[in-house]
Amino acid sequence: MTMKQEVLEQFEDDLFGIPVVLKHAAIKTTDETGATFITIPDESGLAAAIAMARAMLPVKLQAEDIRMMRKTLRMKSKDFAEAIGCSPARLSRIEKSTDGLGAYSELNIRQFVCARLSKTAPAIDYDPEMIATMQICGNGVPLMTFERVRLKKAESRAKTDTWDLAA
Amino acid sequence: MPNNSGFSTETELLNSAVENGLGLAYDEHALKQMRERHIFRQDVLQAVATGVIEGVEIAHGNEERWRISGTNVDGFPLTVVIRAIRIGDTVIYVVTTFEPN
Repeated sequence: MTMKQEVLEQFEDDLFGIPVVLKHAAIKTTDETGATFITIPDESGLAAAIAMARAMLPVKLQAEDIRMMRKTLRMKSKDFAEAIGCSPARLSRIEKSTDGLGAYSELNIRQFVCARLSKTAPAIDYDPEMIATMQICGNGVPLMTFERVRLKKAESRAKTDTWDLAA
Repeated sequence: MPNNSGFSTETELLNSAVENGLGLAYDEHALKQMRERHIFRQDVLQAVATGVIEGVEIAHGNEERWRISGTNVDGFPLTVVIRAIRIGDTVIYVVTTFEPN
């Protein structure tokens, strides 16, 4: 048996911290022994796109969303707590349950995450004003789907592949 | 992380490749371990991007297995074993297992 590779039409993943679907991007490789493994291109870029897309979605943040955002920013709890203006003990509680998380704190976290990640996930729409005026609703996060898109940079005219929310 | 392992060139190449968007592959065993131990993909990227190759083992068929000692995002030790597979000119780095520290 020879090595075989195929791009999967759809791939569900739950190891970035929240479940997502990837369209036409994950690559399945089968080696000579028949073992299979999956490669996701630009995992850091995808993590950033997931965190930003979640921050721009006006549905109340859950504990796992906040932990996923912090990990995507590659920040330890102490540093993230300091950046969003709370104590490490409070962040630890928020990462277990966001029941006590107020609207102001939530918007602050969303702004911080998007401002930090917008260059890593340039295809995700980000408008600070949209977050500032966001009306957050209850629970029920839809399963988000992502795909690879080609972006042309305005300044250099260079084209790069990046992650975007699928329509 | 200081690198006194004797694999400094390989470590630099791997760290830089992952920082620049190299996609890691995962086999079933690694994915199962990640779910059981609550290891995120971001933790693995952190460990591989900043960790040190502590040992290289040549398995049957000249397959190389690299043992990378690093930390997760929270700063806790995370040891990742990767095998390098060549397909033509392309090398795929497959995460196979996480070892206890």
